[in-house]
Amino acid sequence: MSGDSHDRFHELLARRLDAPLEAPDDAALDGHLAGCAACRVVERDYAAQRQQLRLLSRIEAPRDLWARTRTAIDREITRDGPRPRLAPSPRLGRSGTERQLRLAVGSLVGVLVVLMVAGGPLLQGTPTPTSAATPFPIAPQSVAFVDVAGGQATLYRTDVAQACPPTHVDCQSGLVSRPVAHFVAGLEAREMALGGNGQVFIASRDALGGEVFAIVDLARNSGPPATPSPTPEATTAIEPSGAPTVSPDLAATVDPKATPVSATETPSGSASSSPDDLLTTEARPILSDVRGTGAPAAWSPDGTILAFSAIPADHSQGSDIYTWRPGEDVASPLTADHRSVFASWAGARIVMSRLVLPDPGDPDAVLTAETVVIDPGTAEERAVVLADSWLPSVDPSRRWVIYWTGRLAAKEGVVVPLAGRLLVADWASIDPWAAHDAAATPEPISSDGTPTGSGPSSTPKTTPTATPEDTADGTPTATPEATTAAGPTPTNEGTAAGSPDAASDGPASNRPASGATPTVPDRPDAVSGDIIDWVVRWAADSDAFGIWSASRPDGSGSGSLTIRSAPSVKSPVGDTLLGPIPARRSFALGADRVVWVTPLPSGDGELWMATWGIGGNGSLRIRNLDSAQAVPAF
Amino acid sequence: MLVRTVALHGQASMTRDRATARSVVEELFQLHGHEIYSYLARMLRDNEMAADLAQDTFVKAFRAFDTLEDPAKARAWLYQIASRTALDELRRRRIIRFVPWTGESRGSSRSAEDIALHGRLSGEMERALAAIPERQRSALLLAELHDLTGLELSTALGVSHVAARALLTRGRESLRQALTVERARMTEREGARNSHPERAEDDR
Repeated sequence: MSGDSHDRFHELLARRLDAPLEAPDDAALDGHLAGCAACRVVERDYAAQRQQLRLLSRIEAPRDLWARTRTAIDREITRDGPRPRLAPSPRLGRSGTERQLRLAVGSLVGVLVVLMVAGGPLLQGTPTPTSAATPFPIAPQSVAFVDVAGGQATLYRTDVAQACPPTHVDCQSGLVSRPVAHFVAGLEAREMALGGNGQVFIASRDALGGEVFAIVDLARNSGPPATPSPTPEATTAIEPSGAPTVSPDLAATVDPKATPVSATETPSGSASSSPDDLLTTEARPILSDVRGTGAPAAWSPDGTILAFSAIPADHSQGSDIYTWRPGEDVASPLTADHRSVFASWAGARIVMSRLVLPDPGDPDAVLTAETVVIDPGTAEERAVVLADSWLPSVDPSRRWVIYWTGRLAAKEGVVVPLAGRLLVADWASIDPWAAHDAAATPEPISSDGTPTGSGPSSTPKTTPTATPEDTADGTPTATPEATTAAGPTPTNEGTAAGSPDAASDGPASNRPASGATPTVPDRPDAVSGDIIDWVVRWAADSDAFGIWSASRPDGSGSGSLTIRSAPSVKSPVGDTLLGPIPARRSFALGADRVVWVTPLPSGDGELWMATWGIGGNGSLRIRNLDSAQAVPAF
Repeated sequence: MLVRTVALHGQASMTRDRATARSVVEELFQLHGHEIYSYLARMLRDNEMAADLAQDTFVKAFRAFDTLEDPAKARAWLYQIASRTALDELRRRRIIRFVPWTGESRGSSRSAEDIALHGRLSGEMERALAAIPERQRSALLLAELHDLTGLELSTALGVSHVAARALLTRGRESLRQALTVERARMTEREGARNSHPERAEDDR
């Protein structure tokens, strides 16, 4: 007798509890039971569980339940006029009716606070008078996000100063979002990073599918408004081939107002700031006709340098690291080896993964990479002993690193991770700049006034020194201080570290001899399973990190987000603070909080914030989005 | 129950003004408020939340009063509103789930949801119910504990009669398997207590 057959009779047994079976089924079941002792046990189980279920006692309702309900109904009568009607409940936000309403509301322009533009936080709107729990206050912090409605991307800001208790994940906060800038139709935001001086980096796709990296200077736009003008069409040109280019400015419009007008979201038609109110500014491309590679673009900890990597859109070259500083017209290549991929910042320096060229004579050679830390000011490189690593993400305190390890493959000139996993390691013990920084004396100043040791960004004032109790093995290994020659310059293509020889002779000089004591003895899994797409982000205070990961290349951008506390010796991968939760790829960590986009089956999404600060755990649905493609940032 | 239902049934000329709606909803609450609350408490496993959602169920019923075509089906109609409300809430809980930050021991602490989930569940049946899919749990509770049958059950679940029967059938098998797991877990726990009596206090 097959298992399937038993399953069928189990189903018949269950059905017979609720209604008589048809005669043939009934007879077949009885016949089967006569010869199947296990199925007779199942029959007894079903009967017993029915008895158990019916013995469950009624749970008594609170005595004041009707009083509360009557009050709520009376409030409905007072508020809504003469007739009962089908109306969305602010407390029961997920019904189909309200869903539709919220979708309509989603495109509206509510108003609250623009911290960056206005220069100060304001209080949130008051909670609506419903039965929902009262939000509790948290430290105010502004959230920015790009949402797309009708093909137009809009940059919003919202000041979040309260959260809902965990048992009321959707209490009414009265939170509203204020549009800051509109972008030309057809631009689709992919990434966003906020700089320290009001510059917002946005990676987007234009109407023709080309990728554009642009800067919106909100600080500049917060001054006297520019002359209002119609939003022109994007003029990004797609070059047929060749190196990345910089296109003319993409137009955007920015709202000069910073005062709240409405405390709640209202339909688009009654929005306080219509698109016509927004003044023209510019989203200035700093690199066009490219395809981003590696980790999302990120600002240096002091917010003065933006780093990212990209390849030409026509894949005519490999990936290089680019940097951009406020005041510069375009992003500058920091590497020219065409095989460097941005991974993260480690203090004032850039961590990158650099492909190791396989031996052309070895048909079985696998694609591997090495980890290199480069100073963006001097282009001086130092290799890291972190074997089989890809896109290491170093925490702001330079204590820990999370990296992916697995099989790499090349596809259309882009490195594609195959199945792999994310590991946590002790960065302090392998940081090739740690000893240099620890021993650093006042740095010599070059003729142009730039510190020669750390570039334009200041070296972290507190160099992380691993203490025995904090270190995985208790004995942080001092990494060699030997350095390679200065890295390539934009005019030094294919030489220095960019050449295969340099890749093996230069950074390799930092490697311990074969058989040396491993410098990273403990590498627990941060995320197990077959990870092929991921984003790691650290909180600015290194107190927590978030990992978004996906194991299927479904192209939806949806995956799973987990927030953990910082690793420690006792908890090598940190403790789970939140999740895993379904989320889109873009998320951001702020002060004891995270903001992310939850995709909905309808194709749009919800912008959520969760906090784990000293005030307690809480969450807030910030906004129903018009698109799950929304990108948030702190 | 039957008498009261007939009384409601007698309001065939029920007018649709707000006063009537409020009056009927109040009567519906007196008839079914406690069982709706009990159902929500078992679905949500959270008394406070169940009270909130019971209130919301009746406020929704007031708002949607015009959709109550047949007063004889008021009970199933209420359960339908309550079921949707409960499933919406449970879906939201899946979206966001917290683990408390409790300092050194936070990694080993149970999640807030876990605490809420298990804190008030005492019997193996309740724990097993909590382990099965929500719609199946809803079907089982409505059928076995609240005596909804046939069209009442399908109305309350918002599905066809055949689909309601299928949910019930699958629910019975899911519950049987969950009970098996729960009993094995209890046996294992008992064994651990017997071998480590000093930890028994911690387990309580």
